[in-house]
Order: sequence, then C-alpha cells, then structure tokens
Amino acid sequence: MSSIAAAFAHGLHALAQRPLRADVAREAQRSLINVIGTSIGASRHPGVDAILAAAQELGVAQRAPVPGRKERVDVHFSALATGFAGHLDDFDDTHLATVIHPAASILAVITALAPETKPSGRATLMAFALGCEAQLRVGVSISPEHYDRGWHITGTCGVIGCATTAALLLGLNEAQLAQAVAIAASMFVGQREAFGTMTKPYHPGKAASNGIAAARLAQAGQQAAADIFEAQGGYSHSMSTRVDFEQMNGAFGERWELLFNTYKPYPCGIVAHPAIDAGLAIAPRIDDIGEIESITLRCHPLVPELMGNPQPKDGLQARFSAIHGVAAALCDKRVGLAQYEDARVVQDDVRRVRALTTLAPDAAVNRDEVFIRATLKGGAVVEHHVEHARGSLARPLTNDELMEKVRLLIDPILGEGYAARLASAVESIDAAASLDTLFALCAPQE
Amino acid sequence: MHETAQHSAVSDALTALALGPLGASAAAALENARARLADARTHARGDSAVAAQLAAMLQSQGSSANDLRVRAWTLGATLASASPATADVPVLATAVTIGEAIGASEAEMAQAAAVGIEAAARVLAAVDSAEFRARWNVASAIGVLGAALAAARLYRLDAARARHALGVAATQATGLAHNLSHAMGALETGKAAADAIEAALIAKHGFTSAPASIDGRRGFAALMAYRFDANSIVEGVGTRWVSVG
Repeated sequence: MSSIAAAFAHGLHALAQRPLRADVAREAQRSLINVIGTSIGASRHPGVDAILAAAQELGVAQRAPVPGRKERVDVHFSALATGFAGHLDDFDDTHLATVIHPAASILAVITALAPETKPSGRATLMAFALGCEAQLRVGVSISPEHYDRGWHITGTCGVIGCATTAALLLGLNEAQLAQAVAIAASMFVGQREAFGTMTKPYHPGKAASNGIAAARLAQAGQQAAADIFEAQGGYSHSMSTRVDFEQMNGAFGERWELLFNTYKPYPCGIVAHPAIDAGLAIAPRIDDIGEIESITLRCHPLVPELMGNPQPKDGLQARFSAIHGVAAALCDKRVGLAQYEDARVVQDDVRRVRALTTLAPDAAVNRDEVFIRATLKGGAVVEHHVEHARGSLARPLTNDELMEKVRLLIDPILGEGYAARLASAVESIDAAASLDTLFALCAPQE
Repeated sequence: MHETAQHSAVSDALTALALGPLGASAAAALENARARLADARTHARGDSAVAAQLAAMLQSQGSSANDLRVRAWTLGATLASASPATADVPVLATAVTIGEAIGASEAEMAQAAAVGIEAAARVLAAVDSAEFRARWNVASAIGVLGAALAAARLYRLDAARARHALGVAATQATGLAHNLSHAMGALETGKAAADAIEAALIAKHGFTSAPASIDGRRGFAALMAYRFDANSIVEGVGTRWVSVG
C-alpha cells in the first residue's frame, strides 16, 4: 500500500496533467485577484517594513518582488513579506469548514519563484489552484480538532499547499512532489496565541518560504520519512486527535475544496458581516444621520459574543465591533479598510451612531442573517432584512462586488485604474506567456 | 475572540535571563558554553555532505553564502548529523553564526550560548515527557527558543523586542519525532537556528508577537506539551543554572 504522501502526490500530480475544470479555474481567478488586492493593500504596513529591513541587513540578492513595493529581495524574504501582507488585514479568502485562508501563502510562493521559474499564466493558475486545494484537503482531514486545539491552520496546513505549488513551478515529478509534501510536513508554523499581533500573518508568509525550501530539498534528493503523515510521531496524529485521510486523498478531481472558498467584503470578523450589509442597505434611505434616534439589530447570538465591542477605541478593536461596522456604513456609505483606521474609529459621527445602536441577540436568527430597524426623529422607521450576508456560501460576492473591494485596496496604493488592469491580467491569465505583465502592474511606479 | 494574555512570568523570566548580567553563579555555565562553542566552531567551515547540499539549495534562492540564515542552518544541520542532537545545537549554531558576523568577543559569544542553553534546558524541564518526545523533534522544537534568546542577547535587543523574538520563535517550534532516524531530523534542527536568527532580526526591526508565547492558552506549551510546570522555568532563574549540574 502506498503511503499517504505518495497517494496525495499521485492525486495532485494527476490533476496537474489535464486542464483545470472551468468552475475551478474561475474560482482560482477570483481568489487570485482578491489576494493580489489584499497583499497590495497591506504592502506599506510596518510589519512588511520590518521583514524587508531584516532582509537588507542580511544582504540578500535583489531577485524577487513584493507586490506593492519597490524593493526586490531573495526568494525567502519575498515569500515571507508577500504572504504576510496578503493575510495581514484578515481580508483574504476563507474556506469556512476549516477557516483556512489558503491564497496568501500560495500567492507568496508564486511571487517568490516567478522570476526564476518563469511560469506561463496557465501553469501559474494550475499551481495556484492545486496549492490551495492541497492545503484545504490536509485541513479538512484534521478539522475541527486541529484548529480548536489552538493551531493556526492557515500556516500549519498552508505549508503543505505551498510545497505543492513550489514543486509544480519547479517542475518536480510525482515522486519528488511526494517528497516535497513529506518534507514540508515537519515545517508547520503557527500557534493561535499570536492572534492580534504581526505574528498571525507571519504564519502564511513563513508557510510559503518553508514550502519552497521543502520543494527544493526534495528536488535535491532529500527525504523525510515516507509515512510522515500517517505514522505515530508524524504530522497528522501529532497535530490532531482525529484524522480522516479519506478527506485528504479521496475523490480527487470530483471534490474540490477550493470551490468552498469565500471572500470577505469587509475587513472584520465574518459574523458582523450581515449587520454591515444591513447598514449599507438602509444608508441611502437616511439622508441625515443626525436624524437617527435609535438602531436595533436582531442578530445571531454569536454577534454580541464575538463582535460585541460597543465603543471601540482603535482600528483593531473596531474589527471586533459589529456596531462600529453598522455606524461606519451609515456615516460613510461604504465599509473598507479606511473605516477601520484608528483616526476614523474615534471620530464624533461614528461614536454618536454607535451609541444609538443596540444588538438584540435572537437564537432564531441565522448566522448569515440580520434584521435592522432604525427609528428616526419624528417617528419614521426604516427596516431591512438581510437573509444571507454578502460573501457567504449562499450569497457569494459577485464579480462586480469583488472588483469594488479590490479597487479600494489597490488603487489608493498604486494609482487609479491599477485594480482594473490587474483584474484584466488575471482574467486573461490562461493566455499569458509569462507573469511579467502581472508583476509589472503590482510594482509602484517610480 | 480569544483574549490574548498580556503578561507572562515565563516570558519575563526567559527574557531577563537572556539579557541580564551574568554573575558568579554562571561560571560553570560559561565554562560549558566556551567548550561547546569551541567544538561547534571546528564544524563551522562545515564540509559535511548535508551542509554542502543545503548551502547550495539556499544559495540558489538568492541568499548569499554569507547570509546568516544559510550559515546557521548549515552549521546546525552539520552539528546535528555529527552526533545525537540536543536543544543546544540550534543555540550553538546561532551563537557562532551571529557572533562571528558581528565580531562579538569570545566572552559575549559564550554568554549568549550559556543563556540560550539554559533557557532551552529550563523549557524542556517544564514540558518534558515521554509523550512530548514521541511526537516532536526536541532539538529543533525546544532549541529554537533558546537560540532566539541567544540571538536577542547578541543583537542587544531590549526586553520588549526580545520577548517578541521569543514569540516569533515559539510560534514556529516544529520538527517531528518520526523524522529523527532520517537526514530530515538534522535538517529540522539546523533550520531552528536559521528561524531563530530571523525571529530576532525582524523583532529588532519592530515585528511584534504574543506576550505569553510559551505559557499562553493557545501557545507553545498548550499545543505541544502534555504537562507544563512553569516553575521549572521561573524558579531561581539567573542564579541557579540547571543546564550544568
């Protein structure tokens, strides 16, 4: 009987030999433009500065880019910085069953290896889709016990997907791919204790550079224990109290976990999203927010439990305040990164609307549902019912909505029109001979 | 939302050990560190097969032969292949690599190695059990913590930055017991030195991490250990040296 790593590599390698199914390719493209947006949107963060300063201090070669930055660094630090930025604002994609954010680390591998491996657009999309799929399958095989224990699954499973993407870009054969994922299995990274610090998004960044190292070691002939997934003292049983290898290796080509990927419309915890949808829905019907007397949100009980901060004092706290999201929606008629900047969060208008807003938990309301009721001075009432939040599986973001999100991330950094040009490059990626155009668009103009 | 602990006696004790002055009680630990460093440095121009292969692989990434990560990883892997590896190996590889690069004195390198070895020994004492050893590569998973603290001392980080460096190291404590009989085990142990240097460097430049990375509810011990005795880390730290005698 072949090992789990060998069977896994066999399934992935077989998929790589034929064109991606159309629906999978489409979802991969949506995920790709989304994470290009989040990585560029966060590219000026002090955490990226710290990573690039460390690279400079080490004197690395100027070889690979970091989206949104002028600097070029070696493969390791390009992967580290890109994966960090892609996940920084928790605004990247989410696979709901595992809560893996698969795309940031995979974009990081592609960014770091593109100058050396020069993949075509089609090969890139394949490596992207299979890298996401590989880590999601590993994740499903140990969920939910693994995450519940405290591991940050985006890094711990991400590294396996990153090794897969790197192996495909480097042109490894099936046996080498099996070694790459086996070697990556002991390079997992990520404990949830670090949530709320720069170390959380460090996890997908490091997963990317570790995955690349694993693929190169495999290429050089290194070997991990062949049964590293299934053995006692190996990956799966050390990382989880329950393991289901059928989820990892079963139905390749029929079941695509990538198709269960979702994209967040707002940069905050997902349970607040129905409330923000509701705020945006009624915002056009309230001409003057000074007219608001009170707002009540009938919502799922998890909303106050996880997102109950009534008066956040900075952007980080605001990400855990459903009430802030609603207030920002009513004041600004949009909810993006700008509404979570520290200075915006403490201004009088949003503070006032927050003070008038109440969460009314109701176990009969679904997680992706909310009822909003605003009472205006003079007694008029404005109501709205959100049945399924935007970005949920039942109501995915439309391509237009996704593009609007990406535009708000990219254009303020790179200039007007860049989001649209990047989106068009991703849309036509299947026909692109190289990624040169795509990465040229990701670099800031001099 | 998981409320992250903001304070940790364990982190405080380990960073104080890493950065503080070493008194008379440290004499034996320093003597041990000097001897271990001298031995490690005989491997520093590592010509082992694993070192050559690893160096070639890392340099193919655009990391120069003088890149501290490359040198620490190859030296650590060489040391770990030469004899059964302990958590001291990443510490020694880190101290030699950074020490030589920044022109540290022999005394400074010995101090950094001594505090790193002691920190690793104390963390191991706090978590050690048959179950722990059955799952993880102790040399890499524990060694990365001591190595990050040794690096923090050589880079002269302040306490806050040293604590962040420890956090970045703890979150990537890794290595699997099942690989120990393969070359991969030595590669894991060497990699811990490279990861520790990276952790200290990015912390030096402002990177942040968990305050209670070892003892927090979702931290190193909670995820990887099957028992945890904080006193083994905290008690008598800096005056009693458990790594020697």
